[in-house]
Amino acid sequence: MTKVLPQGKLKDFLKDTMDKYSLVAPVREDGVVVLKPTADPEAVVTDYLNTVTSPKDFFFPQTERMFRFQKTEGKIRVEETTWQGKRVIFGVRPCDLGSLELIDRVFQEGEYEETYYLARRENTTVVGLACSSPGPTCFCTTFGITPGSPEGADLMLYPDGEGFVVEVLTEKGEALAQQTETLLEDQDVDLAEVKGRFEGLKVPLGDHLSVDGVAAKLDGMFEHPVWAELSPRCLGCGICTYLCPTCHCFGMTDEVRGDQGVRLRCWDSCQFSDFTRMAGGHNPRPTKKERVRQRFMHKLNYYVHRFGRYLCTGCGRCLEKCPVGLTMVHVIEKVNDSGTREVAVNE
Amino acid sequence: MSKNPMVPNPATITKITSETGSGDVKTFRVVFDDPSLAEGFTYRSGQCAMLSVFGVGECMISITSTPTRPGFLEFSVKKVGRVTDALHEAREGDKIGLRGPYGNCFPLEKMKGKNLVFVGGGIGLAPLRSLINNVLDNRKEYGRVDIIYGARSPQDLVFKEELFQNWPKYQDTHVYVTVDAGDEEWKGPVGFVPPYLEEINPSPEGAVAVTCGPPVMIKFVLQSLAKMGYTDDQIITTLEMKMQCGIGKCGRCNIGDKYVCVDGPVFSVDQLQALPDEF
Repeated sequence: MTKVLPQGKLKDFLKDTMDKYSLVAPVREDGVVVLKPTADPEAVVTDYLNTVTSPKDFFFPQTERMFRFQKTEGKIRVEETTWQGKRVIFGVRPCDLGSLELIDRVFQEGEYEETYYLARRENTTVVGLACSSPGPTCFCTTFGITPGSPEGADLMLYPDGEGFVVEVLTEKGEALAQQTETLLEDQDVDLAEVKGRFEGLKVPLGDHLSVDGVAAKLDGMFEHPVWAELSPRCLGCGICTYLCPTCHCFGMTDEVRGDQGVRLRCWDSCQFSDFTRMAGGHNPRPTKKERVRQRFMHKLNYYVHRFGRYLCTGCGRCLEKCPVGLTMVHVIEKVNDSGTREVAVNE
Repeated sequence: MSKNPMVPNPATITKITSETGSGDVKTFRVVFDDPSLAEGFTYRSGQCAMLSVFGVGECMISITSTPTRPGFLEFSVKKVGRVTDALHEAREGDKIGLRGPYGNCFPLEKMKGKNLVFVGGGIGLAPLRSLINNVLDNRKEYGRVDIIYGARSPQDLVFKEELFQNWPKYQDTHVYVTVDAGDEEWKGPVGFVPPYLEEINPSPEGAVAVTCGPPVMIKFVLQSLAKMGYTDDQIITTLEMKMQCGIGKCGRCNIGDKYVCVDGPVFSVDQLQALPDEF
């Protein structure tokens, strides 16, 4: 038997969720669907390709307070900020689920843990929503993700007929299923068959874009002319890094008033010249060429060396939102293409 | 210490030494306020720490004291920007924040029994000073020590007491100091570090060379060392990049797939050869 949430009980599911958790969910506003905190189950929608911004914002906010400090009588008191909450993020698409797992590695692995992100991750239950109709900018399958991939979710919903087939993936997912158990019906549905249907859905762009061998090829492409060719049209606006569900670079800044202040952790972007400019003026990435190269090398080569995966999940936000069309897809195509051209020249 | 590696620990500046004629380099002696940290903080030569001026910001500075002389940490800081300007305003007794230590260290084990050649320029002597004093505190474990150092002018030389008084007193330890341009009082050699290094010409046999200084000096020192017969695995350097988190997360100090804050700052030249030329 498989648990199914009937379409008609979705609002009740969200209501019951809110008894124990705060809710972040897709809401339609001024013609766009955004993920935002909401207390109104009626406002939550499920008919979107993807949310404008990604769920990363709720684990790695644009600005957050790291600690406050106070200078008193020749002493400094530092008081760490810790995130308190218990939250459900509802309706996360497979590409964005996958991106959380990619950021997890950065903040979790190695000698040090980044505790601000991890506190939010630990206390947030992620409800995934499989994609019924991938869009023209989707290319998750390039990175081995499918419209039905649940990896990264605690509880996954697969739209099926007049409801959602439910798959519980983690203890956090199990706790949410218990919280909402009166609404989940046991039905004679073959979960594997339903999942298989989503996994097999066509993703036109992704199905024709291969990333096989791209990381290895890029090992030898640091000095390749492709970066000088692509970068002049970049505006350096950083929108790709802000909307990207896997970009996670940050900076820190102090705000002070009198004897007390706070240190804030804020998003930063490798597309800004300040990002690597040192006091004294030296900048190892002085032009757009180096900065554009850094972004794509990080995602398609450096991260692969460190963690064995590509740092992209094919969500398509850069395709949709880059004002000058300088996107992951173009770069992968250029890299793929540069190889064949070289072979042709050699022959 | 907090489980959160990003939160600095309060510490007190106990001594400030102005190193240069213009006062643009000062050495700050710092002690943690928390007695358990003051006692328990350990580090290795070559590592760095994040210094906070609360309300201004943080900067990564190499630890210039040596773990062989515990009880305090020392940082030599050149006044070059927002945070270092604020540090230079500080007085003895002032509070700062400190977190670390970060990064890898000089490979002391590999250097044992070897002849050591230290080549420094300007404030680049700061990370080398930790290593030099570490070596000299265990003098018997190493071979001949040559210290070759240069600065723009006699006024710009740092650690003068050690260069001219302390270090030459150690057995088989030779200190050579040059300046780009002398003044009326300067009786020593005048000229850039790389040609001076070639003139002294310490033998590469059984030797390890460690260099730190301005990027352009390092570039020419590496060429000189190669000319003198040093192989890439015999040369060690320590790099500087803009850093903010210090723990390999914030994403800005990478050279290729290596993060200077956690994988460096110490690299051998053969390791650097494998990385893109972007530092």
